[in-house]
Amino acid sequence: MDKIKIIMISDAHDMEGRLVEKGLQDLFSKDEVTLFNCADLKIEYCIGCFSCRYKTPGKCVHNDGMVDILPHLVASDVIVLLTRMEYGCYSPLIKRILDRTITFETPFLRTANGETHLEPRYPKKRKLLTVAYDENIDSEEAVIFTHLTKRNAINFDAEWRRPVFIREGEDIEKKLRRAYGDLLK
Amino acid sequence: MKKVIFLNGSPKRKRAVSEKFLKIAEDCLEGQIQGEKLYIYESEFSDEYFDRIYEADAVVMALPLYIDCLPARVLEFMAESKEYLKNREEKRPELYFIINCGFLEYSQNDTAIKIIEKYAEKNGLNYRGGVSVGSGAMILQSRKKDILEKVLKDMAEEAGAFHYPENMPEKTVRKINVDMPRFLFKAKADKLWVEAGAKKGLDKKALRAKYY
Repeated sequence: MDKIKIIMISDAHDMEGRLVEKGLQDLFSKDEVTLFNCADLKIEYCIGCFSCRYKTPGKCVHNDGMVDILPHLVASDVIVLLTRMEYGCYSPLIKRILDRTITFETPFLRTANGETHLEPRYPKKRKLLTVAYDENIDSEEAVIFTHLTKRNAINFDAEWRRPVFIREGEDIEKKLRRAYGDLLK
Repeated sequence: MKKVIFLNGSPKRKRAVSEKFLKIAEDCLEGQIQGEKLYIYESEFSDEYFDRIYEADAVVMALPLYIDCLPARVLEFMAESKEYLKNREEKRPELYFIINCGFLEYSQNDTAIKIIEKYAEKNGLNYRGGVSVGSGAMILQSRKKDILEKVLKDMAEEAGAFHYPENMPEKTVRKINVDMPRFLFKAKADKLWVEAGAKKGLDKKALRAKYY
């Protein structure tokens, strides 16, 4: 069987985040994983110019770290986002990258879940797994994040997987192992 | 006079739809408040910058929906102001928002609104609600334009007044999008992109091209 192609985008920069990142790398040790850590990347903001929609379809005006990320994102079977939780949302570092994935979609609309959404530029059966960590994640934040990732999965044209929430002192390995089982389904 | 900060959170800054909506709110309060406009995407987040914002009585933040939540720099603003607000003992301003998405349905903004509310709650700001707009710029050419202007003015008047209007429920979120079946909205929006592509010599197939 071919190895699962996983792209992992991580914002881990402190001990807490690095522990979870290490846990994920161990978890995916038999798969083909490409890890991008935000600390090693220079990513510009999306400036909302829409050049990637109607001037140079699929190509951004910025020539930066996204040039390395996007081909892996296109080829991936699984997208893993590791992020510090900020108010039920991704960290700003991860969000910078997500804002730039607009090139992942065409300008045209489709209907999904009874709403208008953008058409995927690179349709493929992918899965989206998100892992959020913080000292403390309250239940409201967990609900907001769950809704958010469900919506993002539509935009990535991916199957949504329940996010993993890791609070300080929790058993990282146990939580991630459960998520891996969920991923294989 | 009440001091009100108008915060533009769009990467497109003055060319943004958010700017148009913010201006409607701003204009209706002219002469009644001490107002100032700031652009999150062209600001350095220094203590002086946050002083200007959080010394106000009210902040009206306008932003587009980006990937189902707030644009990255707005999230950075929220993360950095958290550190600033931790050390600030004075009063906290009221927070209002104007959020718009390019999709038909205003309901697509709901998750982002929850994030704004959470930011306010965690930092002790007085969250007052706002305006949630679907169908982006198209609404300004539609029959709903007048209603949109009315709800933006209602919200602005609340932000500009020292006393909230009677019977005004707290945290009011005024929701609006064009009145149009989904297939028609899709046809209109798609046509705009086909026309934009044609001006660059690109047909529909070329706009769908795979770059990677």
